[in-house]
Amino acid sequence: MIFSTSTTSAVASAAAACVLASALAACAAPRQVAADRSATVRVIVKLTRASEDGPAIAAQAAQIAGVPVTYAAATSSTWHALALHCAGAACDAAIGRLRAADTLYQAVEIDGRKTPAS
Amino acid sequence: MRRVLICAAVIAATWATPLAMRAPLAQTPAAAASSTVARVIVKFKQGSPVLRKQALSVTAQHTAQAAALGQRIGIALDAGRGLSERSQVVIGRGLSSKQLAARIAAESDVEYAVADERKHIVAAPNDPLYATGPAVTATNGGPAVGQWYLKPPPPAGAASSAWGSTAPGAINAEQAWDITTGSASIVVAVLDTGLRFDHPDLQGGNVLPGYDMVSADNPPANTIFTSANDGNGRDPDASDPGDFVTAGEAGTLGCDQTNSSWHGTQTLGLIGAATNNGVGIASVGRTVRVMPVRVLGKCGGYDSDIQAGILWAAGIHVPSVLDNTTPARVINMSLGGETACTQGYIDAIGQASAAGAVVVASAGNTSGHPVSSPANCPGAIGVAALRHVGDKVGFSDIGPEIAISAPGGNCVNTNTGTACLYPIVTLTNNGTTTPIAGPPGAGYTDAFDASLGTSFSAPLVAGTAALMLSANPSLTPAQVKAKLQSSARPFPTTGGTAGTLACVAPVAGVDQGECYCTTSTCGAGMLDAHAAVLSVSGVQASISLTTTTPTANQDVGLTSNSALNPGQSIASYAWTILNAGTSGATITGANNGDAVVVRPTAPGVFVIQLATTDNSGFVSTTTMSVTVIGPVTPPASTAAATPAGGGGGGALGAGWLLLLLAAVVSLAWTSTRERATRAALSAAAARAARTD
Repeated sequence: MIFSTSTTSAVASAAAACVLASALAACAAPRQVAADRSATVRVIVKLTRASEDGPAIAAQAAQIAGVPVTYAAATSSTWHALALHCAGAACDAAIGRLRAADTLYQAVEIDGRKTPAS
Repeated sequence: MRRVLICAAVIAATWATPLAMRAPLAQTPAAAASSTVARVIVKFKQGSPVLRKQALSVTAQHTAQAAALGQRIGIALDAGRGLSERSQVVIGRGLSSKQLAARIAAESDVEYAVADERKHIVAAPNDPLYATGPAVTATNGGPAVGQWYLKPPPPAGAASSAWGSTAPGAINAEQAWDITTGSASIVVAVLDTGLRFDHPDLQGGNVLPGYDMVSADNPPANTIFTSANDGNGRDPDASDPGDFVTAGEAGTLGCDQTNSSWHGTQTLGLIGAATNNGVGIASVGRTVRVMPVRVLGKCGGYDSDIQAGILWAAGIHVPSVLDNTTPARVINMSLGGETACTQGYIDAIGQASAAGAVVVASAGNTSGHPVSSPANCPGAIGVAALRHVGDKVGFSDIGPEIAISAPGGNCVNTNTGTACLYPIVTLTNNGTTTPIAGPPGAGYTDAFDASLGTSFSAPLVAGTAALMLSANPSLTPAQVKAKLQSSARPFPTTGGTAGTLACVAPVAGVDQGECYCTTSTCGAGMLDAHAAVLSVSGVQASISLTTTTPTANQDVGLTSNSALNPGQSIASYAWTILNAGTSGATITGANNGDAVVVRPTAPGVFVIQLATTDNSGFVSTTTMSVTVIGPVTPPASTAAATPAGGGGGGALGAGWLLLLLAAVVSLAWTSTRERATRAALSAAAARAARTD
């Protein structure tokens, strides 16, 4: 799993960790899903300034939220889905910090799930 | 000599016949028009001066009303059948019914004026399940009423024993198809689980590839696709691989174990299944194009993927995704969740609407709870579900955010193992987990595998919106919503299960089953596809040729025969010769009236266009190709006219003109022979006289 965090100082070691983590993730997919969901909260953020640079958006969010953040997907150039890797109160606090950064984010919402209406 | 006379008689007869046939040539356009009888149904507004002037007897009243109206518009009008105190048939002459209706409709005290036309039986589509489902067995078949929800509803007040295969909640798509069967230029995006493209009832050529917007479970590594179930993230393949959830997945994904739903195929089929193809079902949109946008996988889909799907469907750029080159004018979302509308949906729906897309969403199926999201979002057309009789079906959610209601299927028979009487019939796949490919896998829901839910109400509205846009592509999303609502039929207050009460405002967590809809809980009324399409179908331009045989160097009359709906009038006409061809046709006089005169100078074909604009600004154009023949000249001048060519003989005239020329030569030759014979006889007689 790749994390964009505010503490990535050693780029080379991080890259190595990424390769290793990706390989492990591919080998242990089902358990990884469970682990991800138990420790991940997806949010959608609306940027005050449009951007399509996913890694940069995740890195900035990680810096503000204080938890590891993964870029998930773009909805538009202003709305982006991010995965916060945290649980419980730590996630609530991380989301609170993102919402407080209203010069960067016009909105921070939970990226909930919808189901068929039948 | 006798043969010569017979020949001359034949020639004369040959000559005379075309003349007789061409007698109307002498008739002017005005003369032709004067024989036209126009019948119009007119309804006067309350307080009209025409009404106030009337006599006491109803018959005399209608006679006087027709006369007064005729005097005002300058056309003598006779009274026809009276329909009520304020409405009646009036009869005029010298113009078409539609022209007379337009003239009368322009009067300020007239509520409406429409042509009193003959109606014909509207042909139902030949898709076998439209009429009735297969015979019901213990486990499958039906419903006996087929696609009851698309048919015209029974007359108001008709006993249920007389309903046949329809019901009061039916949307009357059948009569809407008499106006339009959909335009291929209108695209409906269906945001759902994807599509089984190989279903035989989707082979009509109107299905677009769409897009798969379901992202990976672990982006950006994109190595885990449990939810997507197709081994990849966002890509151009909108196929539905199945959304079954195994027992193991249920725990990890956080939802219940279930078989595949083929939900996207079911909802899209209602909008765009091939229709009148002798196979399966009919769809509301018939020939509109449908485009699957896959946003749901196992356990549903993320808001971020759905919102990206909304934008992409409307033709708005989504980063890292190929742009949609066939933007949708209608977006259907038979999905939802019990949450408030969030800013992400407000933004996405707002942008899609601004791009011209009508956004339709299902109310939700939590038995009368508040409307789910995104149906509760501003700009969305939220749709609640009705029973066959028109009251709210138990499962449907309701609330003030609902715009309109439509059938969602209901069973009446609630005992286990009995046939569901009024389900929504649509396409499905027979696979329980992964799809079964090709025709063996293609199936239809029925009375036992019943499609029930607000998921099926929304596509009926989306399909109707697509028909409305087919009839009038200039409509904005707000106009479509307003017209859907204003044309809806009122909710019934009787006919439901005994003890049914009026619906009340929903309360979170509190069930509210079957109830009689109100406009504050179920929207403006019951969807009426015919009324909705009719309400946006502006003037339909049409041209009538009033000259029987257009001829070179003679005036050719053409008149507008454009069709209008109640409350409409024609604001302007514009006639244009698009192509004069060899005819040299030009418009003489004004080209902005309800009739026009064209003067061709030679035989050939000219193409004329009429553009009509109605009082709502709707423009309709049509063209007519007119064949012009050569001029006709009387027999006495034939010999003189023929050598000069007469301006060019037309195809019809050339043959008998040649015949006449031959006859003249023959007569001349005969006269010469007769003179020679007479000279010879005279000489012989002289010789005889001399010798006798």
